[in-house]
Amino acid sequence: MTPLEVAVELGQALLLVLISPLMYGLVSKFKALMQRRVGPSILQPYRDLRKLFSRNEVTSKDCSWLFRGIPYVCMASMLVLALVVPFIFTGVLAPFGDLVTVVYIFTLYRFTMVLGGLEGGSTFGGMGSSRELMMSVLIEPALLISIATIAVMSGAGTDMGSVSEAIVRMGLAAVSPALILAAASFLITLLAENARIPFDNPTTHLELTMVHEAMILEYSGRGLAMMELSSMMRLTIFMAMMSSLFLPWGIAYEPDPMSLSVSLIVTLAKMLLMAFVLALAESILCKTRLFKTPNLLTVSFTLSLLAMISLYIL
Amino acid sequence: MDSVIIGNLIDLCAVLMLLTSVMAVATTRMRPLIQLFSLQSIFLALLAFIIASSSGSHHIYIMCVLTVVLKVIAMPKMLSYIMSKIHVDKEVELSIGIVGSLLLAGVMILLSYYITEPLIASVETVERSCIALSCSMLLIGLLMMCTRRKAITETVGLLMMENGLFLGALALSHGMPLIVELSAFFDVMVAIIIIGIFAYRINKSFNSVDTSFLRRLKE
Amino acid sequence: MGPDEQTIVVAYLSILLIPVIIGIFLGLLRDERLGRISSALCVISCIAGVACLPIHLYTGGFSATFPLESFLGRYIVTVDLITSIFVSISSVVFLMVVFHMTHSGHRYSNGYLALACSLFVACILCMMADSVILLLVSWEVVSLVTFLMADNNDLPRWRFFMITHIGGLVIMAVFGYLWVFTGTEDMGSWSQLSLTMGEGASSLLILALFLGFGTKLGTIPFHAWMPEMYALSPTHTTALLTTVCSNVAVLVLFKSVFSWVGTSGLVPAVAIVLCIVSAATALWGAMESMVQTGPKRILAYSSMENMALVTMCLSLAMLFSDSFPALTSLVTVAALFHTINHSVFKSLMMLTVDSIEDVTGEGTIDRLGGLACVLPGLSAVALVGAMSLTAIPPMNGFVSEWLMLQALIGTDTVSSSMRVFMPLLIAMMGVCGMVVATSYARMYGFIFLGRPRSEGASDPRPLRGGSLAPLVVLASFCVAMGLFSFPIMDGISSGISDISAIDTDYRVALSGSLEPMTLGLLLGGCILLMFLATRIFRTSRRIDETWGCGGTLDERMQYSSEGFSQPIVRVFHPIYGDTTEKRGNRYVTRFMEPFVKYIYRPIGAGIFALSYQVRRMQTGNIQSYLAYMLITLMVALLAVRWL
Repeated sequence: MTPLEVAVELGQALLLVLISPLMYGLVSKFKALMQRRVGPSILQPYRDLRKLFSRNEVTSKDCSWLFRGIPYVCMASMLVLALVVPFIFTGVLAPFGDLVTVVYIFTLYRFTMVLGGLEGGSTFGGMGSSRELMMSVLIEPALLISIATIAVMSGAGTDMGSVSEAIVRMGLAAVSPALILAAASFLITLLAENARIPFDNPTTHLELTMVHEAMILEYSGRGLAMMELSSMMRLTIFMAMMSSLFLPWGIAYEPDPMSLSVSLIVTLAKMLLMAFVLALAESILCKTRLFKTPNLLTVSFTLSLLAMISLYIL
Repeated sequence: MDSVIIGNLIDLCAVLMLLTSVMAVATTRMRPLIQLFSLQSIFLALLAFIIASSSGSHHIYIMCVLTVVLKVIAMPKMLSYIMSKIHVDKEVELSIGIVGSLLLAGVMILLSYYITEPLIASVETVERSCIALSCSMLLIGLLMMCTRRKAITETVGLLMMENGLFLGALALSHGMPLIVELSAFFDVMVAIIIIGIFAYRINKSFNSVDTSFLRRLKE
Repeated sequence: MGPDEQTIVVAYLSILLIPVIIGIFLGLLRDERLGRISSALCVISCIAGVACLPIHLYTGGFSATFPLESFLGRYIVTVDLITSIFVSISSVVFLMVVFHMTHSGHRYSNGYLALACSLFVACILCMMADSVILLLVSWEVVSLVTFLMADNNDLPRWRFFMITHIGGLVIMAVFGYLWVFTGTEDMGSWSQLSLTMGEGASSLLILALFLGFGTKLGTIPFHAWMPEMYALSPTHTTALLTTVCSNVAVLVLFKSVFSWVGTSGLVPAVAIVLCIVSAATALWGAMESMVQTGPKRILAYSSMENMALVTMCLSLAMLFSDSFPALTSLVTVAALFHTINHSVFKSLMMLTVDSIEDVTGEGTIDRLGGLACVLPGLSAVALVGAMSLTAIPPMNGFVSEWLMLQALIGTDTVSSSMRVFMPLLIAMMGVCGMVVATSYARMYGFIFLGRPRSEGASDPRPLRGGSLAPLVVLASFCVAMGLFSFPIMDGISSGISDISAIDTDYRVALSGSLEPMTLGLLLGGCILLMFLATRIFRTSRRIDETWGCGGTLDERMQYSSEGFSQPIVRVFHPIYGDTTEKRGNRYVTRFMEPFVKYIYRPIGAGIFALSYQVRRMQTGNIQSYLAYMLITLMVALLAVRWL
């Protein structure tokens, strides 16, 4: 690993962190435009975060030492992922860009957040945690199978950087049913993991429907800011994985300025497109009842299974 | 065109056909179900077109046109007509639920892969890989017919099975002889008409198209 | 082995066994001071057990024959690398359990301490055993001692007795057959017997071995004893049973399948069936563990899940062993590493549960809560244990599950009809993983977080001095075995290649790479970075009530543990088969084990029906008994005449 590569690595991680509030802003702006509203500025999430970071905190008297640590753990797990996910450059820190490890770091994030929901002893926290876990039980197999499909398909192991490089090198031949089905399955898991609309409404504060918001109800000030930022980063990281694994064309696999700048433009365009797709999906779909979500998640699971099998059959 | 890309396109169409079958298993409303069927037929026609143009067998073009005319346009229209006649849209009850039937569909896909594996190895055509898909579409169609209770959804299941059969025939031997294909088309057409009339009559007699009412006929 | 090394071995074995055997006898006496001495002697032996790995590394493997002989043959012990690793880890666990035992609130009788000492001897000998008689005797002693240590007179104990003895009989039959087949009781000379045995016989033997050891590991449908036995026994018994005894079972199973019997020419159907049964067990264990309310029952079902993952890996290894050496090596390493990991984090959790019961006096998670505020140390080590069990990086549980998933993804390279299983097994791992996460988030959350739900929990007694220390040691083992997992796995791998036909480097089959140490540092560094970064903003903190929609919350307004698991139960309703009934002003969900309902109950009913039939013969009339004797005598005489 050369110093240049390290610099590019750190640069892309920083970029990922910096644009994640922007992605949130973009999605809500697109949504507003689709609903013929003006909507908030795309910079609004940055202002919200800045405000939250400088606010004083209020914590519940029932919360333990763990509660104060949880936002740091959540942020740290997302920062680690930002470091290892290939975004504009595939030469990730090789031993950590492993797909299976990434899934387990997401588990770390979820587990700590769920524990945070149980702190404070409020009903909403328990409810949010319980629902989050129910969905994750159904998300996890689909997520694992779709990434296993992509790893097997590329023939480059489970290292994300090599996977996306191998797929780029395969060219058009890579556009196989397996890739498309796995991408479709991954898209559904993206929506479910990030508490987006058919599964959860990110803007709601209506007690009985919220999942993610219910878990972070007790945080305030700095803690809330970190929880919000980490969930924004989670969305951005999922989108980055989508763009660099299932749609990797244009990504740089050599750290030379030319390909890096091309990659930067192409990747940002892909992210913009995905924000648009997300906003579109959220505008045309409606939030389903909690116990209807297993249907959609099973569709995602079947899709991933189909992807794997089509890889074998075809 | 590059043969790899043709192969990929054929595979893609076949997989999309299977996907529509799987989606059909998860659909509880009738109108989307019929739309899914016509979507599936579009993919079948596309697949036939690609095979026809790449292999140069001209009779497949005829089949392609017939598929478009009959399965994409005529049959769905007919089914929608029957549906509007008897005022049903919603299928509520599935005997094993959406999740269960989806999982079963997954099992059937695995099973058909397992069964057809030696067959795939012995066939030579480019499209041989579609055999497993056609087999699973057959099984899933049958599954749909088992789990649904309304006459029209059962018909859609039958039609999807039939699509699976056509896919298999295309994959194995570049389609059946023209005359067999034509008669198969008209058989299905007649079947649809008969089922349509039946559904209408069942509805008249029982005020519902639930075929489980037919059990009462035995007394 | 030179004379010097021979002396070392003899000295080592004496230090290992003699103190604890003296401990057994001292424990049989009634004086309380002698009990203390006996536990001290047990601790000495445990420390010697920990030294097994260094001694092995120094001597390069040793073997010894005891100077006493029975008419059934000699008693031989052999220590190879894999055995020494297992002995050392088991001894660490045993040491911690004994330490905790002596510092806990339970006033165990001297007899109990004697039993613990004999369990240690039996486990060590069973792991090291290299002759049939020693293996069978020590295995039997393990079963019997755990039965006696259960210390209750209820049905579950007898259920355990029955099932493990059925398993024990099967194992005896297998080893008896092998003894007759080879003509020697010295198992050191048994090696890859399947090469000469024929595939039918070896497949049957392997099936029987899995059955025999599966009774101890809780493979379905033999798990019926597990939850009750775990819940009703003293926690230290359970802790030893689930960790050290499982280690013994897995190690002996591994040695007999892969070293003594061998897997060449195995009928693949056997491996596939075992794999499916194990996967089903894992799923069932995880799902049942999520709905239990007693912490020990949660842990019992989760042990079942973990051990099922291990047997699943072993059966996959048998499936691959003919043609995919690297994958075989990978899954075996994963299985054995997961076993020792499991013994560490499961004993940590068991001891935590014991401490909690001790300080609060409450036995269900529905009556606990808020303990993290009053017992921060305990809650921190329990968090480490829960995270290891949930396979969260960089703990040890994560590394072994990572290996398993790598193996499953690597299955892609194997022949096409086998890889159909791969997506199914990956899905199983995914569902299991998250259900276990739910189970432990629930357990940890309801014990340590929120508000106290009972008086015992709101005002716990202080922890007993010295009872936290073993937990801290075990927790640091959890972390250390995660961070330094690759050296350990390399050791396991070379241990495997020493005694079996699996001699390929397991790393060849890895399709990704992992550096747990750096990953851990990276995570820690990022936490530190965030901590420093947030110091830029100068803010203050205020403590207030939890937001309660304007009202005040009390502890009964928290989520209940039943409600917490309800969404998943509802999704998987067809599998759980739960029924809800109204009892007074509250609804109660009941879970009935389908195995008990559809297998055990009918068998029991059948036996009862049969006994009723038999009872008719016993009329109490002396003449009819005499008539039976007469008939029997006549039949016997006729038989003598005819045969």
